[in-house]
Amino acid sequence: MKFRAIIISLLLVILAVNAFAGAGGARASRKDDVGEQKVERSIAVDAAVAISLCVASGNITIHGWDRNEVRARSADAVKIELVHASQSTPGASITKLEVAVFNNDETEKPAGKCQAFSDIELNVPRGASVLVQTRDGDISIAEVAAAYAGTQNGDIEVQKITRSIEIGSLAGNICLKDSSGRVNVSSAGGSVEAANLQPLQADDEFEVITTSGDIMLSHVTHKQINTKTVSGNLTMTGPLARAGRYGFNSFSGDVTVAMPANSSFKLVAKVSQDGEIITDFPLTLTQNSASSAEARAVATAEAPADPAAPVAKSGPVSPVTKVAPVVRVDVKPKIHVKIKPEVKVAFSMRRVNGIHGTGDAMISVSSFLGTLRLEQN
Amino acid sequence: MRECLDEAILQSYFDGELASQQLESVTSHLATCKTCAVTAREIEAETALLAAAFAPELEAAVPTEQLRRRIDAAIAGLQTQHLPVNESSSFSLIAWLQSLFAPLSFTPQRAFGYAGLVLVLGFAAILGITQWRAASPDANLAANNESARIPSKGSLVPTAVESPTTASDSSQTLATAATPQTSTPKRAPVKRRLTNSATTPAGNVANAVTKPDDRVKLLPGERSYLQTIAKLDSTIKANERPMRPSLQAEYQRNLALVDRALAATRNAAKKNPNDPDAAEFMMAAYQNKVNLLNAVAEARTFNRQQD
Repeated sequence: MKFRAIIISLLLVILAVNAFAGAGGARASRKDDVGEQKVERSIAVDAAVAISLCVASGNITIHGWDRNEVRARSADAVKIELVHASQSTPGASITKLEVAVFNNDETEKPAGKCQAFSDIELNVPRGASVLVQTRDGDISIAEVAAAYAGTQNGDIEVQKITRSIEIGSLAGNICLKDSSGRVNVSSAGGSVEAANLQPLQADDEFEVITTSGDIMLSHVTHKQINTKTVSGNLTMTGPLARAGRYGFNSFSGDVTVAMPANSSFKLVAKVSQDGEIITDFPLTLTQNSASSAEARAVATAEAPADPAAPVAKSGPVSPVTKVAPVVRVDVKPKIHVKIKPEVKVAFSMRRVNGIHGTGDAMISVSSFLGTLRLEQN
Repeated sequence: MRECLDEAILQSYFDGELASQQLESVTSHLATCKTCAVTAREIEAETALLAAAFAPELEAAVPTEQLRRRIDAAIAGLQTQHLPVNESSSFSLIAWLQSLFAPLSFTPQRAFGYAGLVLVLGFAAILGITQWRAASPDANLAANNESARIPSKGSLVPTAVESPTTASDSSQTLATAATPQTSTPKRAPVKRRLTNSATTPAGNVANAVTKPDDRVKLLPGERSYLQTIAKLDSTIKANERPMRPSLQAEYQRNLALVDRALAATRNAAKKNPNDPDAAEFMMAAYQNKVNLLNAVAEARTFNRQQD
């Protein structure tokens, strides 16, 4: 009797284990099914095709390849359609393509609606121009000719673009790398980081505007660079382009320009009375003025007794208010130079014009409350 | 022999609750029936006794006709003492005065009644004011504009933007943001504070832009920026659906920054009207605001298409 009970118990245990294993296996297979459930569409296009894509929430990844073909894939969309106008000439390749993504069995995508909530991946010709928009997702674009991207909360990463970049974001961070051509970036709260960018044509401009996001440029060799921010910090690192024009505007953010010791530039700085200009470069002040005509000041240079003595940081170069058109102040690097106005002026804005070297490039800085630093790297 | 009257009928007789025909019947019966007459007297005595016992409370609680008569008599006596000459017309005057004084007898019930009436009137007044404001935004704006012309006494805050775009939330924030930026001892000529911006039509904003306060001097170039900001602001608010929380947070945070910058730069430009750099800073701040509003307006449009 006792033996029979043991056998029955064993049988029950075996059955339970089998049932559990079976259920687990079923779950695993379903997961695999879901993972493999990819929607994919592809179409032959022109090498310089213009592609547009818009989703409400989902990550967008676009990568250029060597084929004249667009391939769209998604793991969670129900349907993808590659919409293009019928070609007027038979046999002509497609030059304009819209990628429509569906999360359900909609028969037709409502006009102007970007309602899909799916991640999508595109492979496009390297010569393609892509226009992508999403609300919450991240965007990554690489190795195409032109990238136009917009998002509200997601981050945007763009690299190896050859001709043009235009990006807008509200809160997301923006990262540009290893690209060339015209660049126009705007962001409200997100930061903008650009590295190794160069112009494709001589007049290609590089412009970045943020409200509170920081702007960090590294080795951007465009000849025309404009950066504006309200409270973000501006940092540019790298050599200056010959005859380049650099504009750095901020309200309260600090501006730091780090450049090689052999840089040659003119400086036009507008700062407030309390604003500081800290420079590692000897500057010849060409025209320094306070706005108040009543202001009188005498520049006094205070050099340390031992010029070789290490100074942690160059001191602030307070702009003088001397009326003389040219005041030459030979400032050796790492020498603490302080130019104090004798008479405090009522006005709070001042302009400092200076030159270093032969003045090949032009640096225009305006900061209402921030500090300007010219550093050697 | 006639049957004696029921005690209940007798009680009703003394309470004056019988009909006239029944009253006559009872009266004639009491005149002929000694038993019933004795019972009637007993009931009458009891009724009188009870009435005497409860008279103070009854009179205090509910002013009876007797009480009114006593008061009237007392007033009449006073009137006759003070107005002996106008004897002939005093009667109607007294009656009129009596009617005036009658509601002023504050018994507890009447006091509750008055309190209830006051509450109802108060609620009605509040409700009426609320509905009137909701129904007439233009009038409200006009009222606000009117109040904006009133100098803020004792305030040391010069307005950063005494601009027409105060009709917008953003400019309202701007004006508030200006507050800590100013430390000048000069008294503020104007301190605008407008609300109800969401319902302000763009036309009113434009009107306000073209008709600034006499004491408010827009700096050169400001007007067009203010008009643009007002338009963008109305575009942002055109979507009746609430802003998405993430967008709202980003918008408010950056708008506060921009407004602070605008207030500070405008203050500097105002203090130094001949300095082009100060004006340039201010214009840059305006442009920053326009850029931000543009971005948010685009985002709102994008989101609206998806709704």
